[in-house]
Amino acid sequence: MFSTVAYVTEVIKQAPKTETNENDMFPQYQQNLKHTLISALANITIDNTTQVLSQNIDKLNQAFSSHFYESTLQIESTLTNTTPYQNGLWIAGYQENHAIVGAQVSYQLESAGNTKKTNVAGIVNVTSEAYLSGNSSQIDPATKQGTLTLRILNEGMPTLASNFSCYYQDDTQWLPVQNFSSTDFGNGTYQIIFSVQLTQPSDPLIVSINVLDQRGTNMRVQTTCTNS
Amino acid sequence: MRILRNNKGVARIIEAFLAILLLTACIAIVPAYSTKTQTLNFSSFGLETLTSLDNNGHLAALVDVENWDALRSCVDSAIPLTLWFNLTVFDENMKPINPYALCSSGSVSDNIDSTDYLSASLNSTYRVYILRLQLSQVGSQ
Repeated sequence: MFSTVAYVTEVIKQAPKTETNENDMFPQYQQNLKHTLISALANITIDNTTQVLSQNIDKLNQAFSSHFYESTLQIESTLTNTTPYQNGLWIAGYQENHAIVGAQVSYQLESAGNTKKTNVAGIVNVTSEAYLSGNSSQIDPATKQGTLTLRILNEGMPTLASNFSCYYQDDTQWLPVQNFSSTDFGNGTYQIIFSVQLTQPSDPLIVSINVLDQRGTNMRVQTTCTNS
Repeated sequence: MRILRNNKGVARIIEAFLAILLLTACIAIVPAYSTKTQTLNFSSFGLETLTSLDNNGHLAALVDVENWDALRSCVDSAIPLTLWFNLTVFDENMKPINPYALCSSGSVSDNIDSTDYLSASLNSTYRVYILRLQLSQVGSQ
């Protein structure tokens, strides 16, 4: 009898175990939901396919629901529809001096295990912002020099750009700035200096920048340079 | 004399009973307690490690570009030398996608704990991966 008890105890000790504690799962879900919003924003700001947000959240919820075996998991996520969000998205690009794109979703998780039931609710929010300001000076009768300051933020914190391109308005046309020098201050702030020739030199210098932050979110911000 | 002999017998029976109770308690309670403690530590540690490493989507980004050596090094740098690990990456249909084993070297004990972590990719091509991390003491039994 003793040897049987000893044998069973040893076998139990040696069996590999997969632990899926629901308390460990909640931060994991929240982190992945944030990644999902970032991925959707990257998609939406490039392709303008807004339905990708709900599709990706459904995919994530399905993966979580089907993967936790020790408890029954119910996930409800709702795209925010209060101002300024619409279907979970806040896209205010092409604005003067400031562009912002964001996504917000609220979620509720209910985990029913063998011994206990746990409820967790929360909101996940992701925003990317770009601020642009600049001044211009007439360096000769036909040429203007623009000095721009660009700041990029993720969730209100400075972040780096992975790429940006610069355009200026000449009459009614938007033309790319071919040669510009940029200085990266390493804190999400960039200084861009360039020279352009306008058809009407007396026109104000209007500049637009397409910026891709490190998360792949694309923003377009424009500014009218002040004369210095 | 007869009564005395009978009392001696009862004492032996009680003594045997106590011995059985003591042995049963030792066998049943002590190993179960130590197994549970070890399991909880390893799996929680594994999950915390993966959650922390993937905070900025780093693990999913490495899987996206199939940089398996960097993924192994990344996990290796976060696991103590006294632990053995084996990482397996699955796609959404639970099909393993790493072409070779992503594990540390060294002998492995019989007690292996396993924890699963779901990782959603950050880039515009959205995917969900399941990372299974197996942990064990190096060389102990």
